[in-house]
Amino acid sequence: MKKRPFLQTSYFYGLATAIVSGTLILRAWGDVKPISEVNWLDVMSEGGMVILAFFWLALLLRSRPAGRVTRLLAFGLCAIVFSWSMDFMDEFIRMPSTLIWHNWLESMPIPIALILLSIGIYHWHQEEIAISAQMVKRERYFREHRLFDKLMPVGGGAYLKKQIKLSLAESKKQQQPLALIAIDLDDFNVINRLYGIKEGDHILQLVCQLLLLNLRDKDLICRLAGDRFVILLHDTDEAEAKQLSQDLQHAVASFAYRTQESQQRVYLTATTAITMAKRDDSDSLIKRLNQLLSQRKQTAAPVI
Amino acid sequence: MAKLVKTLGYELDTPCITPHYQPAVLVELALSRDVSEYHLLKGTRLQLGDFEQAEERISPDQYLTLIKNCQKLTDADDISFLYGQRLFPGFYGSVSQALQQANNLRQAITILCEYHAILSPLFTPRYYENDDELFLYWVDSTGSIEQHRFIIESYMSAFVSMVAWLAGEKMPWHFEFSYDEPEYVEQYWVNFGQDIRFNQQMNRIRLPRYCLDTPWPNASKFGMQGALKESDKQLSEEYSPYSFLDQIYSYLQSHIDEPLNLDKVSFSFGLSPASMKRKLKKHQTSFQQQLDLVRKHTAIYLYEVKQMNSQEIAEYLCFNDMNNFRRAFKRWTGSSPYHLFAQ
Repeated sequence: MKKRPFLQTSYFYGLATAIVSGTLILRAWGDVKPISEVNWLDVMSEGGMVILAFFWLALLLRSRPAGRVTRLLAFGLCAIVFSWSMDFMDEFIRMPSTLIWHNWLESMPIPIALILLSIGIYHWHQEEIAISAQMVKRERYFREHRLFDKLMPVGGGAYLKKQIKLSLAESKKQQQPLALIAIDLDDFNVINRLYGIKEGDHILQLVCQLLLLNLRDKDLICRLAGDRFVILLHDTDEAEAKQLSQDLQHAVASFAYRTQESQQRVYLTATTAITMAKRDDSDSLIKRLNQLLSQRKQTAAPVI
Repeated sequence: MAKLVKTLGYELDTPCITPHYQPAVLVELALSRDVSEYHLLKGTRLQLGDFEQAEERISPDQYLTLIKNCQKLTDADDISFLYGQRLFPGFYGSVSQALQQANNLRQAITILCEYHAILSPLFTPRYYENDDELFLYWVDSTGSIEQHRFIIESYMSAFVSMVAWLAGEKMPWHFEFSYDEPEYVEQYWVNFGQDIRFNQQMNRIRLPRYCLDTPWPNASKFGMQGALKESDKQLSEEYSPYSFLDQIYSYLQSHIDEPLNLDKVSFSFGLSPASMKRKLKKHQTSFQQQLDLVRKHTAIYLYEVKQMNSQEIAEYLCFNDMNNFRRAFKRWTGSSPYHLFAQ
């Protein structure tokens, strides 16, 4: 993966300014401790805390797109970094304890930070619910980012196996039928050869979106490998699955793709295979599905 | 002296691979997956410019490091297969032209094996036939243990994808792999079909013989002959048409019915036993391992092609005692001759 650029650098500038001015204020009213009085154990532990909090802030800003939730969380973390770095500076500068506000710089930001973080995390929770609703056809309430496909916005083969395991257990418990569809583009090899792999990848991404559009909310789609997708159909009998697989084939066949470079029309067809989960485990189920697909590929005429 | 060394074939550290042929395809693929150029080329002593300049050759070692980096950075199960799909016929001068115009599968296989120093520098393809089937298998030619699964996946999908493209139809291949079933076995299904077996004795493809001589649509007889002539010229300009390990394999194969030992083989190669040992060690192997490998392959060949029984195979391989043979066979293959040949 290419390194993501730091887009929201203003937080760091603001934080640096705050820390520098805080230090200057401390220095103006307090006295620098002689080296012998510095407690190095405290310096290490408090310095470590500052570094960790800074690391959290950096991760947050690097991974999240800008927006309200990010802003709240970032301000909260900034306040924590500031407060802890004032605490750290305290080890080197002694403030006269007669001064009423001698420890305000380190203790005041903490409650503010905690309030900001709490509001931020609450909105983050709301945001997750909204995102999960959008992702439902791709992840069905089980997330593992390490298994995401590298090319498509759907899960890969390993993720599919995990999902099949969950679905098998669920359908057994609720006594519902579970159907699987495999769909594979015909002669995708030729498309890659004729138009290049980049065009091929683009077609796959669009076909994936197209299939997503044709699914119901309770279905789940994963990319098994290459140009083969597998769809898990919960609470679906064989007739419904057959209907759906034909719909998907028609959707692919009537997809009017034009190549990005030469605007050439590419005609796509797909082969599908259906299987119903019986008394098998995820491995045998997925193997049977692929065997069926291989047989269909050799015999079936494409649907146009 | 220089000439003598040259006849020993290319080794792990011989600069013999043209960087803008197969390595460049890998670099492009990796860069298209947003891998950073710096990390991709780290440890390869190469720069992106080297792929454009077409001046210096790179060693198999550098190529293998490149593969390792690419595997690590892209972290995708399909990268070796995608790489393979782009490899053949490729743009490697006349050899690619010859492949492109191959008249039938048999010719394509012959070209692949004949010009393997250009087409398949890291693993050498070899084949034999019996009455029903052709067996195309790949043998490590540079000692690339760490990357061998990646290379096998790439080379096999390269060949299969090229044949599907040139023949215009799918072939009824059977696939065998010497390693365990990987976790991403679905990549094998999609790229190779369902007829796949793991934990076998060799990395090979089996094909019914009737597919071999069906004419292909792109075939061009005259263009083909010209391209082959030029390919011979191209091959003669290569460092060597074989790797060091290839030559050891071939030598052992053709002398397998004689008693063999390190001293004798070293002498035939004009090397001292010590330097022979050192060279083999550089390729992460030993004389005994190479000998066992060739004996194993020969035993399988004798069984599948000459239809010999264990007794005859043992005699052919210079074993006087059947018990000795059974024990050795178990060491090479992990199972007894009876068991393996009954399958």
